[in-house]
Amino acid sequence: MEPLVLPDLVARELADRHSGATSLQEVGVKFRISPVETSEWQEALRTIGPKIQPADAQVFVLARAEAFQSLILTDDLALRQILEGHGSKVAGSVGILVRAYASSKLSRKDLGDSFDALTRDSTLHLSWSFRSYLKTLLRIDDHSDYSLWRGLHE
Amino acid sequence: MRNTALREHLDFLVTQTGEDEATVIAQALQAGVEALYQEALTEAYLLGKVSRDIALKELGLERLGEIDYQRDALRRDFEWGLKGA
Repeated sequence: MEPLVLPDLVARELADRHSGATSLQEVGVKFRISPVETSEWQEALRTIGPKIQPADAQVFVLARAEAFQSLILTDDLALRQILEGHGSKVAGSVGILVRAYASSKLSRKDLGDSFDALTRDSTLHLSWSFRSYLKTLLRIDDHSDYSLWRGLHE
Repeated sequence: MRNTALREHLDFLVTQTGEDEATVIAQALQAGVEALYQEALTEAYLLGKVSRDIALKELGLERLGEIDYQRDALRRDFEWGLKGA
């Protein structure tokens, strides 16, 4: 698996939230920190406008350098919309948690608890209306019938 | 919110606006009910319990567009997660 690439401002944000390099190493995540020149992310900010933060602009610069072909992990909806507009595949915390559940690394109860924690403790800012919606998706998946879920939502 | 913070915020609002406390509380109640109504309406829309037309009328085109995008992003996340199994 390719290592996770963290722009330097994102790495700094994670460290400020006590989720820095040590935490990632503890859970076995392979990563590298990729500095992005100030002139590069400032140019991206000028192009995109004030919808995103400097750390997100660095993510955009790195995604652009990969011709928007790499999977991007972000919970920022404005950044996500921009990246998807360029053809990037984007996943957020919910996708990572569901993948952990689908890979049997999380129980269904832990997945539900993690959704609650996302709305309560994280910077994702999921409102309770979306938490209810997530739990609806989870209940559908509880039948272990992925084709049913696809049929209902496509 | 702790009661002391609520008291401080209420005092600040009374001082800042020049309104009496009862008026400020009435405004807060109105704003709070409106915020809760919008959240509950969003939930009902997401769960298919109210129509898109009603949600559009009550929430507005811009907000409904944001809700639709966030809902679709969560669906894509969910699907991406399941595909990785």
